Amino acid sequence: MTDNQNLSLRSVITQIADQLCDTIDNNFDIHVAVDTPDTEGQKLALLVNFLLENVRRSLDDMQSLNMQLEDKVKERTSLLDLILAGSNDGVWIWDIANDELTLSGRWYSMLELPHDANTQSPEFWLQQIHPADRGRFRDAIKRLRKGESEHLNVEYRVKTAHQGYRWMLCRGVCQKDNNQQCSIVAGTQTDISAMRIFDQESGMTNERYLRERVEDAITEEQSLFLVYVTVENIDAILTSSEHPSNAMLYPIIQERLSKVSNLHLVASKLSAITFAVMGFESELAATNLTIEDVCQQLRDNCANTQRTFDDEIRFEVAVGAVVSSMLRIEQSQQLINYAWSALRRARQLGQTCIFTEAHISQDSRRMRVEKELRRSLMKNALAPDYQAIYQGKTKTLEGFEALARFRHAELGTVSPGEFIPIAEDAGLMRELGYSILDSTIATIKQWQSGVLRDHPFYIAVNVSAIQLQDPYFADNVLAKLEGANVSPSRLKLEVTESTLVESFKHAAEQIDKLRQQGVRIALDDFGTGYSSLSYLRSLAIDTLKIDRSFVANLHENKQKSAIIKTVYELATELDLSVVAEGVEEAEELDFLNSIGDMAIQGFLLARPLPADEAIDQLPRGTY
Amino acid sequence: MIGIIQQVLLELLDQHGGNELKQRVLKAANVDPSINYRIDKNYSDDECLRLINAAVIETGLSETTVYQHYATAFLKKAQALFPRFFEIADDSEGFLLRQARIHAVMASGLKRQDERQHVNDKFTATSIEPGKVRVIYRSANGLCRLYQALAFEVAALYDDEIEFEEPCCMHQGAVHCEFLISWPNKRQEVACD
Repeated sequence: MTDNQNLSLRSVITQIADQLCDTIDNNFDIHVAVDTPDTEGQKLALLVNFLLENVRRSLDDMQSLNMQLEDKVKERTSLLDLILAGSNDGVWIWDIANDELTLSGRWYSMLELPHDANTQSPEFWLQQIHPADRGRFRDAIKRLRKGESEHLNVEYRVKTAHQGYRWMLCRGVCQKDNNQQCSIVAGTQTDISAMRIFDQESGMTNERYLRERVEDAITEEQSLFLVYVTVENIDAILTSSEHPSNAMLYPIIQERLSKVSNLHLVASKLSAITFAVMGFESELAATNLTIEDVCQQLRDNCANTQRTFDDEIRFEVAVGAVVSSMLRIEQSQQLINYAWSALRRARQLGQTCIFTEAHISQDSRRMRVEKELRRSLMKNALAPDYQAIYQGKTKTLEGFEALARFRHAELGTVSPGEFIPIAEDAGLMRELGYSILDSTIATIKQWQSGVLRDHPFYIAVNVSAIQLQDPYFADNVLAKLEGANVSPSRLKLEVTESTLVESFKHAAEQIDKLRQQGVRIALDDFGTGYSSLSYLRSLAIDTLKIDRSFVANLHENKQKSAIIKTVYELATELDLSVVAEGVEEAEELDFLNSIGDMAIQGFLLARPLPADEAIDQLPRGTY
Repeated sequence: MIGIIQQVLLELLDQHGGNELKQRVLKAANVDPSINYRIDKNYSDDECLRLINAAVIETGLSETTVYQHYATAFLKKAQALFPRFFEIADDSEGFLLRQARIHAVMASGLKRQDERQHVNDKFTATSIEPGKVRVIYRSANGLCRLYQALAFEVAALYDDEIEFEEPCCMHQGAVHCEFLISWPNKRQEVACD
């Protein structure tokens, strides 16, 4: 290469290098030109321009790709926003390395908190969670960070700005760094209160919510009161008016149960007809109200008629209440049990019941009776007493009535007035009924082959409503009689109006079936109900039992004697036999005998006695 | 067009017909007889076309023959100037796939900034499948037969056998020319695999 050529090439290189300096600002949009006739110099310029063009094209491609990616990100972000808005969930992102928590606006609004654009510490989150749920939340986070679980899935309560709380479902997932350590955890928070603490049908808070609130108050040593309310006439309202469902009644009930003076009450639905109202004693004191006042106002609210759905609705309620400061309460469940107990008493007594210490010992006795009754029924250790029934004029034995008795070694003799309501509440009436029936059939079998083998006697057994609702009741009774080889005519079943009210049609079918096979039927307590006469028309029976309330002192009471005479004449017209119950005085017996031929049951002629004694003490000549 | 194209043509004329033929062609094409085409500069397409037409007329050869001679000379010159482009490609398929981009980038690179706007690449080449390449040629110059001659010359350079089809041609009224170049031996190999 000559010196001139060298010089020319050096010049080319310098020209190109100078022009390439323009790329300092990332400007590759330049055209390199050289002033040389030398082909190699031109080649170099050509290839530099070639390189620049390649750079430009690559940059254009990258920019185009970047724009496509940005569009894609925008599109996906927009979709994600739409999905999150649709789910109504809050979003959280926890940068573990920096210990920073980013929370979405929705996350704050779920807790009724103002939106804070700044990041928070994880402790802030923890403080919003109910103290009882924090441990569970911490454990779930720990498991996720350790890789023991792939997803975070934990439920907890968060306090809201209005002294309440809501249930949240928190879901999340961990992003790991190059060392497989959890670097970011992110996810959503879903409000699941509607599922957890609200009754779907009524929109009222449910029993779970009430329990949790009570538990919180007890834990925080806040004195509170609970009022349990049963609306006794919901069925009647629905039957008599045109409301399509009781769901339409719930808003009215809720309104009436929530408005007592200026108290902040929480009304919860416990069952289709039972509701609870919770409040704090501090508010009672502040408003100079007593628990009795609250109960009375609730009763008044419910009794107030209100024009709704073109109808006037008046709720008949039973109200039972408990105040935590009046009792030694250690656990929330105690208070809830006491509230139920107060309500049960209120329903039985037909008046408001405020639970006190005295009720606790009564409940204790009640629980003991229930437990022992259940045990006796399981061991078949319950034996009825039998009270003889005689023909009034001839004193001839007609039969007996089996009367449920509960004798216990430690409890002593428990009266039917005590144990029958307990059996009803405990759902033991079916077992109790069959137990007495079994004993009675066994007694009939024993007596018909013993001293009464030549005498046509019967034993009457009371039948409960729950037994008559059993579609197999008649079949069961007949099977038991057949199994014991006892004639159906030896058995008389006594039903009352209240027994029939539940489902008359079904009860009548069972009664007809029994009667067709020879079992006799007596209508017990006749005259005490509202529609005794209508039952006479629609129910096939054999005997009328005149209630003891008409018999007592009838010889001194013209109205009673007139009624009994009329009933007797009616029974005679209908070919029904008559039994007068509760005959205790000789004058009563004489008067009844003067009316006509009827059977007599009462202490005057016989007391209820255990089977052996009842048969031993039958006077000679009566059978 | 990049000056190398005209430079190769004039060198070829000079080589086969001497300076006298070269000057006749320059004159017939109405180009400055003293012109020295530079390889790092763009020249007008129209001028180039005039030179090619004049070369066909003045040599008395058929257009195809002129293209064949030109293709041989052009590749020889290109290989001498840019041997690396030829080394990078394993075979003629690889080269022709790159050729479109080399041509486009080189041509565009030599244009000034304002000339680059709204100029589309004349060539695009895509692989349809192994052993088959589609080339789209969308220049108003209509030098599709020159491209065909060059394609066969490239194949010969790599000792490859190709089949060349032109299902669309601007001379037939199409918006662009389309070349389908196949390497039957290579496709058989693929089929055997």
